[in-house]
Amino acid sequence: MKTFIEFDAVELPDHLQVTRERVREFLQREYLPNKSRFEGSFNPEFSRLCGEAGYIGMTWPKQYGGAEKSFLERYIVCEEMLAAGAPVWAHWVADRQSGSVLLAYASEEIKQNLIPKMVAGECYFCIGLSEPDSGSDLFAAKASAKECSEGWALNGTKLWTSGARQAHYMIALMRTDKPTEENRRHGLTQFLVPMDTPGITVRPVRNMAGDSEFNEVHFDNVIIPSGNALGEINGAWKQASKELAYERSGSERFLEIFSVLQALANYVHKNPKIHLQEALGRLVADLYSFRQMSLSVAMMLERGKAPMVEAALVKDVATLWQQALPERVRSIVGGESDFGDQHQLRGEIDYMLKLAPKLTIQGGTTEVLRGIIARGLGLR
Amino acid sequence: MGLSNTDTLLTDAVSKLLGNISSNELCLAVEKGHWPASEWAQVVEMGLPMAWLPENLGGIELPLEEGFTIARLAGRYGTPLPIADALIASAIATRAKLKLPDALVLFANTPANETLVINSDESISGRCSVTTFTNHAQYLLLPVETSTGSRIALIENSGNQSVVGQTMAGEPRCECVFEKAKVLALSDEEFSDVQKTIDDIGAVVRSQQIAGASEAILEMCVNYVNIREQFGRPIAKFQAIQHHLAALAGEVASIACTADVASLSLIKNNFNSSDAVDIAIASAKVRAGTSGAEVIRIAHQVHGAIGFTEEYDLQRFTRRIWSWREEFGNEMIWSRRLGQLVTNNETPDLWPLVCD
Repeated sequence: MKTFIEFDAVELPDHLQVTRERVREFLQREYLPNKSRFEGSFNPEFSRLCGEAGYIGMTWPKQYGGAEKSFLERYIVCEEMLAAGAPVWAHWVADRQSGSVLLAYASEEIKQNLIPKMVAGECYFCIGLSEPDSGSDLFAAKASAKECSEGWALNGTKLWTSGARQAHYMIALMRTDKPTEENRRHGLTQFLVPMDTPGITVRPVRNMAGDSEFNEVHFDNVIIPSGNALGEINGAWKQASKELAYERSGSERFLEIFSVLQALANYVHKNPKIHLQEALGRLVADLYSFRQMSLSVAMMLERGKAPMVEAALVKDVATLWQQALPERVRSIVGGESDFGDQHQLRGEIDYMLKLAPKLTIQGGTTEVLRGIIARGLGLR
Repeated sequence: MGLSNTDTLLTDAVSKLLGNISSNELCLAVEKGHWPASEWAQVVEMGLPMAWLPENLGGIELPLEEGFTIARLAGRYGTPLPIADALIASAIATRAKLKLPDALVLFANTPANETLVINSDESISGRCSVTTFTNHAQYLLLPVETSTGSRIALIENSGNQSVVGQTMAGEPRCECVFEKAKVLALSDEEFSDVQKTIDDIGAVVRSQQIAGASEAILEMCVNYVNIREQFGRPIAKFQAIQHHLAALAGEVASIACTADVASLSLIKNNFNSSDAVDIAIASAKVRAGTSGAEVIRIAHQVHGAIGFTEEYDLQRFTRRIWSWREEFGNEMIWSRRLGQLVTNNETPDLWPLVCD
């Protein structure tokens, strides 16, 4: 009998517990007592502190300032940061995926120039994928790059680009050729685009939660050097799988709105009724399961695999759960008459309800993920 | 499966045996009261019920991971035999340092608020609570109260046995009553908190069985939708079906992964309890119960009417998941324990509990 999908149970080696304690000490020292000093989730000052502490680019080669630590160690650092609600988003994309793209496909000059700054927490990245007419259907991207005498000329629009206003660079997916009859994925190339290049305009798009993390980025004849093409021209589709596995399986998929669950735990601690404990316990069990699955994918990445299907699976189950969380928390406590003084919990529920719709869209929709899983099951 | 130390030779051999002897027909026969003696003899010959028991106590002392693998495979093939239950009994015997006879030995607890004591002539009178398959057990392990605390006793199961019902899977539930049953062996040391020990081990074993049954159901669904044609093509080609099965795969993976984590956690702690072990076990059993229900819902939807019939193979796995999720604490019981674990701490910090 065959098993379609396997997640090995991971036993974390003891030395990673030391790493975990150090991150907690770091957060206790630098962040938790002065939370008010760090405004927003995108905070350059905090990112610099993370850089100094060696928490960015941990797995990257030492010659560029990395520490050549394991992916599991990086995983531990990330989950501790997210669980504490630390404002990590400035360096998050660079650390999670852009660094490894550059290490794999950028020129030596670019690597020597950029990677040390990324490690220091001073160089931020955004990812240009979606466009007004291509969201889930990435391979329909129209924004183009054409070879010219000075290098490449970029034209078109990227949309829903998180962090584009603050980022120093974008890794953009641009059309360099038409798709072919046999392969509709052909014709797209990844580029490293300095965001201060003339011709780029960035317009914030305010979301329903009142934040403006995502943006519309317009390219009007933006000229970048020829060396900024990353990897195979027209062959970006071959380069995406590992990057997407990093993006999809990380702890943000179950920790992005963790604070609402902690707020519920605080509430039940003050009101230790059996039905509340039972409801809380059920949610904690869910969290525990998804973390273990996510950890298992981190171990696969550590072993050099590209677990596309497994990563899609973790993101699918974890984001659906996470999306339902504020609603479930609300129904657990909503009928309690002494809810009135629980301002923290009410605030968490209200804010997270507003964030919830995006959780099953960003980084690959539920529908796209299920297509990938179905292919893994041999159904398409 | 994900217990990386598991020997694939053993997995292959057990799979082959259980695959050969397990069938819907056999399950239906057991429901009518048949005891599959020749199938059980083959399972015993391979040593499966004694996998956890040390050699000096009459077992074959396989690595602890292998016992969980056997439970997983027993679930995967829906084998209507008390293999997993015998494993659980052997885990109790191991901790009680009791040598077991070469026969079916099951553990049975006492009913709530009742205790068993040893008479002056070294015998026990009384009854044990309703337990699956004990009508076929030649011997029973029981908790008894002595002047120096709780012990585990081994007796021959020769008293009155009345089958009082069936599990959701149609397996016999039996109450055993004994009058002056001779105590064949008694643990030397005190065995404190038998209920907690049996719940812990039992919950992980049942989670593994549910994981196995869920894997079987996923495979059955994938095969079925590739063969079944409607509207001129295999239903696997419909996106609605693909999304059903993708969701099903997610539930199955979460059950299997968490069951393995709980198994490793128990093994690492040598089957003793701790907060970290408790949260792993609770998560596994809660996940097995809640996701198990979702596995069943989707599998039946995908199969249509045929999946609802007695003759089709799906129902025996469905009913086994329903049966196993109730035993050794259902998801409500384990959720409550987990919630209490959080709120009984001085500060209700979730994160350290989940990851440490």
